Amino acid sequence: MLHNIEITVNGKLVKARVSSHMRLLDFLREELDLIGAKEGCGKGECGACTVLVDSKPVNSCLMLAVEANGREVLTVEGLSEGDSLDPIQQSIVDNSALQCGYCTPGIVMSAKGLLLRNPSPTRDEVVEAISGNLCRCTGYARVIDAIMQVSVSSESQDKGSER
Amino acid sequence: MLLPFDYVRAQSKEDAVSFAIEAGPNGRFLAGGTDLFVRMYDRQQRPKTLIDVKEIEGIEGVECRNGQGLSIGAASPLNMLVGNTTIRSEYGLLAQAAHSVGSLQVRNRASIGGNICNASPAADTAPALLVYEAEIETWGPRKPRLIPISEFFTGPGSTILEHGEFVYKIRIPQPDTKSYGVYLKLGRTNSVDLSIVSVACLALAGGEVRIALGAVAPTPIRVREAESILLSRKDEEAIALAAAAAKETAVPISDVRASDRYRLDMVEVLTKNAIEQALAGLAATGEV
Repeated sequence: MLHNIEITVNGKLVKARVSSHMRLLDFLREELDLIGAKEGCGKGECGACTVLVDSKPVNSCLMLAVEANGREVLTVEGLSEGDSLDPIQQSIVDNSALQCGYCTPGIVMSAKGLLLRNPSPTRDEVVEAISGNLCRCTGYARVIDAIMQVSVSSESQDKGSER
Repeated sequence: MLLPFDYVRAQSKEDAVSFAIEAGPNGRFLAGGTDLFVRMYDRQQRPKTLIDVKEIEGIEGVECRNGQGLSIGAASPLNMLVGNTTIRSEYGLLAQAAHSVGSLQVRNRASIGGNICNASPAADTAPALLVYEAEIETWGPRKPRLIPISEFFTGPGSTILEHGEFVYKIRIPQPDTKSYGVYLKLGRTNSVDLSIVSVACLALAGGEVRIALGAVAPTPIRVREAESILLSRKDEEAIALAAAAAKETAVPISDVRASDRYRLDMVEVLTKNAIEQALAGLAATGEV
């Protein structure tokens, strides 16, 4: 069964015809060539496929493309403007908060979702926001530091540099 | 990759029912999909038709009616409950239970109706709904029903729902008195894990204490034997007796997450802690 969908992806309206069973993740990667979101587990446990749908982080492996009809999807590709990175991305680079990088786009999008709804999170709130993102390389400490440094409150920045 | 199926979007309750009848036994209702898509990905289930209920009017959203309790649309994502100020302040146990499910990403999709229809013995919102004595409003081929949550679950993965019947709302009556609830969940990690044992305890200012358990029986269960011990007294000894009674009622299985013996021991520990915390919380509100 095919469906006509219209999704705003990274600010651009995309019209497409998709099968019922096409996941949002496959639509982004295979139809739009946006390969930032990764498939890790395919079951909503690892968070490598995290994108924002109407500003909220979701696992794009657990959502159908047809379910995203009429919604706004933001992927990691939509964060930077040309060569200028989003502050979260820049902070990840500055803090060397990645090794293999497979989980990074998902973590960046979870962080983006957090900072959109809460621009000055506590360290605990950062930990909770990325608790659905598995990373087997970094041990998370630098990832959390990197996100804390982007938070707008200088007070929570101080908390972030305690460890 | 998911195997092919058809997707239809119900715009009304009537639509959903007629789609379900048309689809027959290979049709499944779809809300958040966080359980269903995992089973389909694993090829444990291969439905031919998914009937999306999320656009039915009234199936999403939380309505707090003064003195009438809560009416929660079945397709409301769990994070909607976590963020709802009335639920946080007056039905805190439900907010805690909803918050303990999966990850933030999962809670943005997973619905409360899906959590109970999936009917896992470990469903986190179920013990909370049991102690709040929720009623499940369904819509189906026959007339709409209002089912007490205590009659809703019939076994692991099975409910009292008939073919073509879906959950439309979850109603929670307004407690007569002030209450304080605690949800304790034992898992391996704080996030993205199913519970090994979970306990919901609601202490009411009138003296009643309600207790429900998750993951230690074929369905989530109320433990009324334990509750009755606490009706007249709430001293240390009574709490210990109630916790022992909860352990006595539990009939857990051994599986990859824990052995039955470990679960039994943990039922007693968690029940004791939950009762103590709920009573202390209620006392702190100044209404004992």
